[in-house]
Amino acid sequence: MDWLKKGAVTFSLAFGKVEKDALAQNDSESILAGNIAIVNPYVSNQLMTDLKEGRLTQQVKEFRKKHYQILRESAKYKFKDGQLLSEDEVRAMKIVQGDPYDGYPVEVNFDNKAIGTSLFETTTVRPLKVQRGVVPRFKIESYTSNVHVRNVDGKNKLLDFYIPKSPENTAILSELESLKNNKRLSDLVNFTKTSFTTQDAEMLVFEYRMLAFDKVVEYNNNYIVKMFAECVSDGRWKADWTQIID
Amino acid sequence: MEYSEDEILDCVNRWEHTGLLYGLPLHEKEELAPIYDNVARLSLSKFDSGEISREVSDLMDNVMFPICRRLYRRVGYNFNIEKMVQELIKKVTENKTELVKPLNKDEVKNPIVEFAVVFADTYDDDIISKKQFSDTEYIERVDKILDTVRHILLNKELVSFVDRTSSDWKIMLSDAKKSKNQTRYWNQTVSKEFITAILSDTNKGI
Repeated sequence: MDWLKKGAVTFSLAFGKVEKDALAQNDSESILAGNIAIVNPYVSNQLMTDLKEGRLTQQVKEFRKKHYQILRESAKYKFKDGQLLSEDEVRAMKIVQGDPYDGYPVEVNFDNKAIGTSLFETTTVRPLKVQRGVVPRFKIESYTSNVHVRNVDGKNKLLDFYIPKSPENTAILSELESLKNNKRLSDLVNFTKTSFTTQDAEMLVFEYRMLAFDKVVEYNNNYIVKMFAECVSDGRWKADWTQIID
Repeated sequence: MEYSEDEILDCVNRWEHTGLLYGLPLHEKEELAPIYDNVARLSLSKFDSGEISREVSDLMDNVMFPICRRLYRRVGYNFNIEKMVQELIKKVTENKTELVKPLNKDEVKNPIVEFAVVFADTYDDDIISKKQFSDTEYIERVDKILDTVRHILLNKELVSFVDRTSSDWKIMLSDAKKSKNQTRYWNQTVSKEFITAILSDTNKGI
């Protein structure tokens, strides 16, 4: 029986390597460079057992690296109407025109819908983050439904904060109306930085340093607060840490 | 498999530790961790029982979690996990030659990525189907969409948006004035945005 066991080990190791080679495409070759051999082909699926038990082994780290590569790549594609849309087609689908008051093209459309509450949270959280040096009467991030980022010249952007004229926003509407008619320094627009991360698989971080308040306009039953900003992070991949394995 | 609150917490802790839940808000981790737990359990049991070979098992492990995350994004946590894993085994077995084929230099799409996208975007089962419109509801919805699009496209005024907060959709007009051609072009754009949004909702049974 020994020859059979030995043969099985050789076969498994050889096969494992071929399979991993075939799986390693594009920028995932580095996974192979630091790959370790399959530990024991006789026991159950060790990787899956480690994952299920929450053990962070070297193999789990390599698996995680691959996992996020697949997630990042797959975020670029969509299967629709019986065909796989190309990266360009998917990108075109995400582009919106925005309001007609500015000609700068909209390059990012961020949905700031409230993240649902979990078993252990009591309040809803919105993904838009704002940094400020004052305590405002109204926090713009709590009322904003969408953010459009318009490209001015590459480095400088115009950020459109959409605030719906909905019953739950009644408190802020008079402040917006007043800001629209009378441009002045208001604590609503007195903040220094804003950032957001596109949700789920894409996980791109956008960060801006605020430069100046531009105007407030009304469009599609929304008030839009427009502010000029300098881009600090233009879509950095948040999961890049998973690609570094000790 | 039903989880108690403590079990969910334990499940989130275990999967959080592997890093596979990174980037998700807490409530999504609470929903996705039990899904991961179940697919891992099924994968282990299928392999241990000899139902699937190591080759299929390894290929499946690679795509299983990205597929679950994408499918969860599309349909939520209400899908038949056992059926999904069964279907995944079938598809991986059918496509294993493609999935292990080395990538040509001029090929852009990775076959594994393509497989994961197609599977997650097309997978369907009895639980997911429950959220779909019946034939009659679908016909009514299509009629309503076409009628609304016709009103937007033929409107002499600039259309701002379609208010769908009540069952009677209202076409909201803008105060701005534009030339006839600009108005047509603008309303065509509004129509496209409206169709994209409403078809997406329709497919989710909303």
